[in-house]
Amino acid sequence: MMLEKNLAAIAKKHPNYPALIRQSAQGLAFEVIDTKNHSKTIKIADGEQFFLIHSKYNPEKEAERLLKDLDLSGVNSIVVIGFGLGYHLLQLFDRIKKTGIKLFIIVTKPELLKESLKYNDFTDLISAETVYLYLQNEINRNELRNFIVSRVDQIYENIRICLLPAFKRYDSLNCKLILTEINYIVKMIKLNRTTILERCYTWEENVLMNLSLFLKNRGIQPLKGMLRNQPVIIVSAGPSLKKNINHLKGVKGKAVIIAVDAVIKKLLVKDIIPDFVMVLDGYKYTLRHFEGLDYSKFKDTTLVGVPQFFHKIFAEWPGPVVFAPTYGMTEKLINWVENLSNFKGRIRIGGSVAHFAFGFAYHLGANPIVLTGQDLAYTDGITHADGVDYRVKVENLDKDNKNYFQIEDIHGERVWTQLKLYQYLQWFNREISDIKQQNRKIKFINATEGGAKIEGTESLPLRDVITKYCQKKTKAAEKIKNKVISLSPVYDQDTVISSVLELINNLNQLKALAQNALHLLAKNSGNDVILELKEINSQIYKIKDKVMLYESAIYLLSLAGPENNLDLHTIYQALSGSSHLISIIKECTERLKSSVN
Amino acid sequence: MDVFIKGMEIEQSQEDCSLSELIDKIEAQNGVILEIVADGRKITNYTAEEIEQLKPIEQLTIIARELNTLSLETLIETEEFIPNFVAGIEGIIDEFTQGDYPEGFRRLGIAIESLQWLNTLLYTLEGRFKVLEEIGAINFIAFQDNWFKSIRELTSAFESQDLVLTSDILEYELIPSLNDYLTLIKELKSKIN
Repeated sequence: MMLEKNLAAIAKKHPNYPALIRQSAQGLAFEVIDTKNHSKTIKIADGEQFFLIHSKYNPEKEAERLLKDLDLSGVNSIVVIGFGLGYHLLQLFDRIKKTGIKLFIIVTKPELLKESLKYNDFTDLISAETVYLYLQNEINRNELRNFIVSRVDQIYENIRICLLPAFKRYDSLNCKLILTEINYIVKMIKLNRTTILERCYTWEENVLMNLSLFLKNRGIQPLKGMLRNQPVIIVSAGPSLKKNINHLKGVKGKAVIIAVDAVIKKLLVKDIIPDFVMVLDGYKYTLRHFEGLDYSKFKDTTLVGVPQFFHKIFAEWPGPVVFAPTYGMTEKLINWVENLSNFKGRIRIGGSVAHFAFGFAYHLGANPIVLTGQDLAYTDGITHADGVDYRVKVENLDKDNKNYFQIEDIHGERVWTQLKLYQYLQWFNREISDIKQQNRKIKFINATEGGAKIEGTESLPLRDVITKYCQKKTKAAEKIKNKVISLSPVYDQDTVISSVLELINNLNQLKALAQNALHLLAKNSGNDVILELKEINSQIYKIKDKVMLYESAIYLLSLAGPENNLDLHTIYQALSGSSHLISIIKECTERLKSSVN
Repeated sequence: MDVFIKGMEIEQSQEDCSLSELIDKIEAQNGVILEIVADGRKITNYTAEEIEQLKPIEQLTIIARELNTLSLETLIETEEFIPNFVAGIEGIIDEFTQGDYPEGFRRLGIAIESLQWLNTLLYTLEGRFKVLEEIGAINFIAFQDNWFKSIRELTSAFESQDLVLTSDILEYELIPSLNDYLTLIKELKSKIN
């Protein structure tokens, strides 16, 4: 009876799960036994031994112990790994059901879930809007990641993990995989947050400065698959590039060359003109790659960039420009622009411009995708290729620092790397593995001839790659260039301007409310003032949803709930942020108007 | 030889006594020797032969306690120790229940040393108070049986690497036994007083 009731609740949200639960073959040898306090526990056989998954005395009290140190302050999501008989889930749900905290429940072993559904009523838990159940016999990493990532904020989500300890024993393989995946998601969100809070101010400013160009230029979406089965060579700025850069000269017209921004000067010295140049990091030091650059050489080179990159470079670039937004960066602002024009496409990245180039090559359908200068380590004791501004010798690094450590290189030897490079490597490893799971035909070749071993790639010298894959002449890059040029803008100037004016109006309201709050704070902090501040906060909270620029200048507003008290820092942020944004948007409106004239 | 006996009074004269005669005298007065220092060197654990081989001792210090005093001191120490020990066990249960196995194992290792010390004390108490089967509300034999049973169960759960069961035994067998142990100690302390 209880089982049917629970299954009916599950079926409403996950129609496929009841069949999976009912038909589950019993892979585990287990027995449900009574506990001393008249609840149930499960005894699982492990060889000749048995082990319990819950206390045989008092599983409810045990669940209290499991949860008592779970700090939920500032938490938006909890990922619970392992269902067991669900005592911990019922208690946790009881604690968070009115808080809005999301609960992700990851379950393997449907046969155990079936048992648990017989003894406790989980209908409230399962039916709750903020509870998400993921059930599989074997965990698929991609599926699991998408299951969580699609439901959480890529920047601000604060995720806690709650693991049922016995799960480690009764499904150790899946447990390890799940923990690795969730920890990766948590780490990536933290990395996003750090980067965004540090740089988002500039990014948003750049997007607004690029607004006119961004509206006019179509994105990468129409280019999808245009390089189907054509070889692409991605040129990055690692120290090994000096070993094979000369081979690139003969490749032009036989493979598509995609270069990252840090390497274009170096290529130019060798008279190698890439088909595409990738720009990602809208932060001032990247401008050094363009200082003194002879732009006239790039008339036939397409610049592919995120709209967060510097307006000056896009505006001065002599060849075609195409925008390739990525996930997670000033996304609300991008969505706002896209709603006024059209979807530009998206590229998945892991933080480096080389990832961006890789994602672009994959988007184009290239095969094989060849990596050069992608050391991700300090090959021969050097951090970057000759002529690259960031070049540093390893002997000058503080190797006692935990940020520096050794990993396996392409020859199976040890090579020094640094935490950030290692994280970039991990992204490549995972991305290649994910792509191979979906499409086994794509070949990934690491032609760096040095540096870290990249999993899922074949290591091959660039000369051999050229002999094997780059002998036929191709006009693929030219076709893409022509396609980019031929695309016409899709937007209505008046709609855009009225939308921008509405944005300014909202920001002005925000500014006025923040000014009021500031005046109130200057008064004595009596109860009346507190009530008025709460009222102002609630009004600010309503407006902030109409202002898509909150990720940097007024980001604190997104963290404060409508019921919270306003503090001086938040008010200051709202005031200075809105003032700053108003001035930028006014400038961008002028640009928009003049671009028509 | 100058002789200093600390911690208890010796009724007979100490003049012209050898070290072994002094030890006999202390033990005859229900004393327990804790430490012997000869000319600045600790010789508490020396054998009779080793003592014979020593040069003539010029200054001898013996630290001793009357058995009753010593027992009382030990009981007071144990009475203070057990509640702290129970709190430590609660911490281990938390570690295991929350899945922090390395920390749980580390602390359990320390706890097992304490359990061994409590075992030894229990044997000593049995020898010291062997005439008493009923100590206040505690039946000494029944208590001893329960105590050693919970230790055996703990060992068995731990050997099978069942950390849920290990936590159960700690919480529902060992901690109640420790509480009984504490009651026993309090009863014995009141008897000595």
